[in-house]
Amino acid sequence: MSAETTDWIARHAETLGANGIWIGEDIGAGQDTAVLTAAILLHSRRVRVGTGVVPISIHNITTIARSSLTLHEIGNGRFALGIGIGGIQDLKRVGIDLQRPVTEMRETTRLLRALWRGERVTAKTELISLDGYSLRLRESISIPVFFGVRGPQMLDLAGRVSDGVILSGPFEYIEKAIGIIKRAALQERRNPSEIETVVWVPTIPTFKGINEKTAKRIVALVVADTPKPVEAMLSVDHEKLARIRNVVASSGPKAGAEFVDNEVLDAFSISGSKRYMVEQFEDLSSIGATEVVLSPPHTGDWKGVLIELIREARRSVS
Amino acid sequence: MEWGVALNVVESVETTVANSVRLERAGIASVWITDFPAIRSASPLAAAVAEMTNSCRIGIGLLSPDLYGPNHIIQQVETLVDHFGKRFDVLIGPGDGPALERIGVDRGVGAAVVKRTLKAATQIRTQLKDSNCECRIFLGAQGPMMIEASSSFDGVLLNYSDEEMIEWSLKKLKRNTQDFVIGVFPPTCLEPNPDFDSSESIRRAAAMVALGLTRSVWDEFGLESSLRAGQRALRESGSLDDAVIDVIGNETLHRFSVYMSVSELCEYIEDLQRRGINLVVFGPPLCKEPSGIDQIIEARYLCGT
Repeated sequence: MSAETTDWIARHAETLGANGIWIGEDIGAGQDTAVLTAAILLHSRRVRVGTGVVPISIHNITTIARSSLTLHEIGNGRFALGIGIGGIQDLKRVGIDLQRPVTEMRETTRLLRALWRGERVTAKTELISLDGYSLRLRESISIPVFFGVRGPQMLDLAGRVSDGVILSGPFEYIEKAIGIIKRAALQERRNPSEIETVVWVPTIPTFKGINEKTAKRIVALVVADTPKPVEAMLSVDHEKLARIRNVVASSGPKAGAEFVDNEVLDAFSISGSKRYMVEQFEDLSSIGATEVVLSPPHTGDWKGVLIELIREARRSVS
Repeated sequence: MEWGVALNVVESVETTVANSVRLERAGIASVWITDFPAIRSASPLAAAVAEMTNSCRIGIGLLSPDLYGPNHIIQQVETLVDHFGKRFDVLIGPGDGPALERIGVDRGVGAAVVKRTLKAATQIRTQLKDSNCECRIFLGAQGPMMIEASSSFDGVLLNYSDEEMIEWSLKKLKRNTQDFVIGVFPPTCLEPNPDFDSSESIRRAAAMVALGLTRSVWDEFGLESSLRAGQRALRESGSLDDAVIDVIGNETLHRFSVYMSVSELCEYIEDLQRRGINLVVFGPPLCKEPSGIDQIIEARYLCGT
């Protein structure tokens, strides 16, 4: 996204009626997440601004801790840190092969919180090596940590230690994921309702500007990127999904789109008419989503789409 | 002479932004937002400074490619320019070796560090120029390799304040364009009645710079014995404590700092200008306390250069 686009979103989010802005990080591509988050915090006043997500595998933990402190102060407490491991393919491309990702997420979260409490930290893990590092804080700060994770073990960990989760995937998966998180929270003697559930799925406004062909192409790409543990949790025809994945890999998303039918389209995206999309948001709310992210692709009249969709959602709530 | 002031050691975002606004109003041409081992990240903080200031240049760094990687540094600069305009400079250098080691960044030693940093800095320069990102790229330099290589960039920030060291650096420099900026970036403390021996903060800052000096130039300036003893003490102690600073000795430490009264500073600046220096960035501990901001503003007014 261009700086002009993100700046427009920052400046209009509140008047549109949005509660938050979430900023994704593509490893090695796009705008710098910390600077972009700073810009959005500076150009908005009340909305929460979160990263969704910063991959812990490619940043030194002190960089994450220091950036978060800086953003926490810039936003007067409106910043939320979303962390994840990073996409498997992206990590392979940069030569990272993490052996114990769940342990790394747990330790990173524990150590970040210790640093924000002003503690001096010494730790050694697969990703982290700290020798008496401290942020030299006079007062403890509290920054909510969201997990952008997918597999069952990670979801379980999220239920035990995170302040919130950012879920992405088919509806059926999201429902099951929320169940895993709640169970883990209860086992940990936590109140599950204290864990926020942000759902971030492709929202494809076929009612305005994007035709169904494009929607199917986008979904073909999403299917191809869906990890095996997520697919395993679905009742959608696995052979159908495998065919889409293989065709995308061999001939690209346009060819893959030929095999995306309405069942797959509905499972992997929120698309259709304005009313239908809002009904799907309501369905997500009914299964436990506390926030729904209207996600890219923002093409065509994306500003008009945002305005109409949020207005419709607000009307529906009231 | 372009005046710059380095901010961001342990101060809050609010304090750094307020100081930047005051410095800009006082005619300071550039504020430099330091990075690791500073506690707050330079790039998002630079965004906050840019939002509240209008015309001053904003330097970020020193950014170490060993901590961020060249691509991440490029992303940071491009995003700042895209959102806040063509006001940014970036300082690239190897960074504080012992501090980086303590957070798991193993830099190695010797010429390999310099070569790797130069390779990364060259990639950063090439990609930023290719994408028409209008920013100045400086090398932070002390040793001969970095100083000589800096001529391919927009400028150099020398970690020297001492007359002999600056002259030596200038001889090493191969300035190839008139626009090339030669800057110095000394630890600074301005006092009405300077008493170096009893000033803990300036001695510590000077010790950090002195201990980072390339061994190949120890002899050049007669620092072999004091810095060798200092490095041995640092290895034994594990941290830059008073004992290590004492071992280095005040005579050596003084050569790595600007510690003087405001009126003496005016003469110092004139001297730098005569030597061909066209940027001075006053470094920590100057602005750790509000009085440091008052003093540099007073100096800017009095010196008038």
